[in-house]
Amino acid sequence: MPSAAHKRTRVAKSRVGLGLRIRRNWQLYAMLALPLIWLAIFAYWPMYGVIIAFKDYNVVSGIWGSPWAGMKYFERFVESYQFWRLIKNTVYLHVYELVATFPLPIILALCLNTVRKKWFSRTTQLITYAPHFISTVVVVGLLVVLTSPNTGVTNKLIGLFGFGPTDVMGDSGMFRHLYVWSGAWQTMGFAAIIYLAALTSVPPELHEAAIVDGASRLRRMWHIDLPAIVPVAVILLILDIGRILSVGFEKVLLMQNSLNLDVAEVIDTYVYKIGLASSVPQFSYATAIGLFRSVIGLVLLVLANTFARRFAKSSLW
Amino acid sequence: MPNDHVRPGVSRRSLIAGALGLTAATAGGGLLSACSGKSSATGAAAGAGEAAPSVTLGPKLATVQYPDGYVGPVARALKPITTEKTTYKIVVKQDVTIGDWKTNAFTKWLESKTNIHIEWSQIGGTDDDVMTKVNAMIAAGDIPDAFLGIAFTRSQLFLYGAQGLFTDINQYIDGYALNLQQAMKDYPDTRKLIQAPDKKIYSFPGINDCYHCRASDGRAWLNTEWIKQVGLAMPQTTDEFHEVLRAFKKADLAGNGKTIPFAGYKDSAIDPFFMNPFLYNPGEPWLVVRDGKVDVAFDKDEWREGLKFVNSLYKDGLINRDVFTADEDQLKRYGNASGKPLIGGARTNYWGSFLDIDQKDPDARWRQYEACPPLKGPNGVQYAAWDYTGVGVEVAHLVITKKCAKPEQLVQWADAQYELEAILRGYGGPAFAWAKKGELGINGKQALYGFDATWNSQKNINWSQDNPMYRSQDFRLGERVNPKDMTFEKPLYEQTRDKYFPHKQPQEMQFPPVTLDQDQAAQEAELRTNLKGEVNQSFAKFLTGQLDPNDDGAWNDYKGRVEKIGVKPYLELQQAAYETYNG
Amino acid sequence: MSAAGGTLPPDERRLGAGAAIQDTKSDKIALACIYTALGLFCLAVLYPIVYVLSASVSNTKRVSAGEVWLWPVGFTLDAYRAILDYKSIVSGFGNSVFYAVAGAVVATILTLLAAYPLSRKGLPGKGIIMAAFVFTMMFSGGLIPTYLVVHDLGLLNTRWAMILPTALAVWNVIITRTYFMVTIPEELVEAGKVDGCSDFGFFWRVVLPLSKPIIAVNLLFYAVGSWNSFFNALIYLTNEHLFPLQVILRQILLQTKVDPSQMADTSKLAQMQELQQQLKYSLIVIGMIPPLLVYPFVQKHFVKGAMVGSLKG
Repeated sequence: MPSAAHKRTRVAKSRVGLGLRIRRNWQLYAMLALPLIWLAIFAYWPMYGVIIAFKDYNVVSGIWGSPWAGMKYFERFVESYQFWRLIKNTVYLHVYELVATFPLPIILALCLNTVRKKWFSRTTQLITYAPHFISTVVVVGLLVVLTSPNTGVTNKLIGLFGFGPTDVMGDSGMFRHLYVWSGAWQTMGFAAIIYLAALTSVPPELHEAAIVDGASRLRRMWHIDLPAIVPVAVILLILDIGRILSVGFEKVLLMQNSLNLDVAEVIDTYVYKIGLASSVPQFSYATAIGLFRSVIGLVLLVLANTFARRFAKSSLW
Repeated sequence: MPNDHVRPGVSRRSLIAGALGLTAATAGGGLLSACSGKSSATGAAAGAGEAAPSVTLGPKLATVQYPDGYVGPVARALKPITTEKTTYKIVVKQDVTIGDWKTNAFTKWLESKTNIHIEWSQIGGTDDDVMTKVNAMIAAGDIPDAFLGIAFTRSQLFLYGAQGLFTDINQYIDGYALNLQQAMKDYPDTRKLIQAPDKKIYSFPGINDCYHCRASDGRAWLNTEWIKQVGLAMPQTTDEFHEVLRAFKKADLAGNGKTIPFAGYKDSAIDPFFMNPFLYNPGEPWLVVRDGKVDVAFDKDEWREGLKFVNSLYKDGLINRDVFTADEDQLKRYGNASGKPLIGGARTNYWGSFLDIDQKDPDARWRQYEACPPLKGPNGVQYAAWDYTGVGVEVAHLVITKKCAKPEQLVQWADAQYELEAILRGYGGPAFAWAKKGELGINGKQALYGFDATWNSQKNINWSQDNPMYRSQDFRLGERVNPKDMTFEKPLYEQTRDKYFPHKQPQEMQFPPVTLDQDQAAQEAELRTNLKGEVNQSFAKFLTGQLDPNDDGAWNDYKGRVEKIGVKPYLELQQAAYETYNG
Repeated sequence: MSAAGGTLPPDERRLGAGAAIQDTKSDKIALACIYTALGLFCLAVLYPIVYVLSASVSNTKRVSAGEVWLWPVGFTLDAYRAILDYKSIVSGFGNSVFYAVAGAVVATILTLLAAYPLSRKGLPGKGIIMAAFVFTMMFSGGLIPTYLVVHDLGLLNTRWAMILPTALAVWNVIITRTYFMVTIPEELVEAGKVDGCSDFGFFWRVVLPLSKPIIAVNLLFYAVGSWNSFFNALIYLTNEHLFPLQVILRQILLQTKVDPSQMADTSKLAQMQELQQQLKYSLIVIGMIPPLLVYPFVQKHFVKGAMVGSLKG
């Protein structure tokens, strides 16, 4: 059986090679040791807790002492009255947010990078970065002020064009726009930082050569700056796709009202209402929904990553 | 629990006690008199829990003027609970209105009186955050001797109590909690409201017979100046109400077309005010009891009539467009608008939710607004949704756990907080004074006590109502009225008494606070969340005309939706809990 | 790494080259558009900031009457003076600074240690280790098990509890790794090997000096993350003297948002409302200042060609 023998030798060879490569790289593994220990302790050790999803957990009996519940909580969620609405609302909101707000920080970073007046670029950066630190409560409060049908600025503006006052916050058709664009406005500057850092890797010689060749500013932006950002952008996109079933819970909750609940109820707010605001906290139910979400997120992440590896030549692993 | 029923018996006893003054301990009633002599002689006898199974109250303070027929906490000298200083570990919420639990004035005072030292663990954040942390602590077995002011629900108390985590204090009340015992006699419903389905009591209640709170969900306000200006009277019926609002709008009393005849905001439901002219509606979760059967209000034909009514108001532009979206800050901008207020009326618990209350100014804007009585509907229905059981007795102000080595000491420590002076210091601060003879209280009778006007601007002086207390109606209304600083308490009390109390629904119609077991709680949370979402959303849509209440199709669709969500299983669940409650 | 170019520092060099050749007309139009767009966006973003600032120095009564639109009305510093009355706010501020600085340093070190090896081509087991990192972004044990771990490690109610459990963000590791993959080409590694550099030596002498921008970004992101976070404090701390600012901010901003009908007593509600009115905006301003002060130091490293310059130096 020559083939088997061949195989064996090949395996042996590569094992030797592998062993050698591992030994040769021992310093790299040594560097990884600390982060991996951290990962083991603070990320993997608590992970046994997912079995809460399969139990009727209560805090006094503990994780091991609580009785098994099987798939009860998953079934309850999937069969619940709101299930499809929740999925739909969450996915809509997240995808909209992704499509609308993902390119913005990139554009902002490219523009800031092109601007030649340093003071202008730096001031703009500082100003656009600041709203990240205004708490969500205040941002939502400001939205209410600005859109108030009686005293709000937006209604005065549309009033000039002869449109009657409307209650924008109570218009369920407007909820997603308000949520997404106020979010863009709040986080765009902060999100651009990562791209600004990535742009520092562009060698100035490339620009000089392109200028000599007579390339316009926009062409240089497109052909020199943008490619420097792409690897980071692709990675961020993959990670965002993995979070498709989660959206900013606190802001959605604050923006909810009786009139927009049909589009504004998302998985996170629902889990909060049932899990925490219940007369007995429903840990098992909340964990089950979280697990459900994680599994879907992981599947999408793997898909997105495969796709990116094939077409954009970058990959998470 | 209107305490009219309990007044006669107790008042006589109190009256006698008040007259006797210093001679004290006999006032507690026959049960106590046997031990009274001994304890007042030794002063610190209570400490040895093992030796003397029960304790006695300290002598009454002589300087306190009790009004005639007074029912409520009594001022007594507090006695040390132990001779040696003993330390207990208690978990509380951190609260900027309290300051620092360790150095707080009331902490120090209580320690000096009881000789019990507390080691505090403070949890930060909102109430939800606190509950998350407390659950984690319990899960880790990281349990203190007691939890103070942590908002456990009745269901949680039962769940954890039945598992042996919380101590049943029922066994200690007779021997060690004489102030509480008295309070439970004054308010006979207390036991029923605080005991779990297994007849045990897992927490010290906070008794707070807040009279005006009982009508707060259905209270609304109208500007009397405006009513005068349009030449009408305070409305009594739905039609008159409609007419008044229409007149407000027509006269445009705010100017520039900015008038909002009636306003509401998103954090305070408006349906209790607008539905009660058509059927009894306590508000969310809209449960009512009819002949012992639990039912919901939101799928009845009368509810639909109410929807037609609010829809007609909205169509005429009489309710603010952002009634479901404005937050409290926004509502206050309408109410506080410089020059003139923009709003003619509002559906809020009290004035402070729609404008700033300036207590010192006798002509302040808030004084223009008066409570609008519950309206009479076209069929003569007129209810003020009166909260007999949800307000007044709150559970979980103090929970003693299995970790506590000597529960009887903490029971006494808790009981000390039901004493009159401790109550005043606990929620007000050291700046209280006993009322002099002839000074009048909120209810117009002899006042009991008064506060220095600045008490609530000082820091680190009280426990901000987190601890167990016994505040009876007579106690609350016994606060001296300071002509220079007219608080909102007096007008709020009087208007509630005159306008809402007469129209309260019979007590047996109200669905009481029930206790659910863990599995019921899980189902209930889900059904309630879904029903609440649907009913609130449809109410809003019917009101704003996105759905037409006059259209049979729209109404039947709505009824179909709530049916599908599960009104029936929801009611079955609540019916079972209700029957358990009634024992 | 072919570091061509003159002897000028990279920035001036680039400016020099740009100025040497006249902008074309279309370039000018493009630039004008960019300036305008950025300017407009700045204004849109400035509005809420100015509003918050103005509200914090205005008379609270007039704020609640809706009179403040842009500029302060009835200027007063009472709100800031009031902050000093609350010891927990003052100590919270100090604690927040400490957690942000210490947390950022620890976390950035861990991140660099993880990201560099994972950026190297052909490291055996790299894929599995990366997958192990990414997996934790999707799955976590949840609140209670994590709490139990922190409890078992004896970290509860210590400053460590604010630093260790969230010391590493996988997101940052991935970004940093991507940055290394782009900026540290394999040829450079090989060149280092030829020169007899060990991995440690190469990391210390070549990689770190080349990575100032990403180090700065990591420090900033971790510090900001820690500055804005409240959850660890809520869950792990029970000593008021250890609380960060955000816990107190959260309580003041959110506690009155609860259903007023559930509030124990109207007088307590009134007290909370007054407190909120008084402190809301000044607290937000206080919370914004440190991150804004820090940013220019980070920004300094976002300079084009910084890499090449430091390589030559």
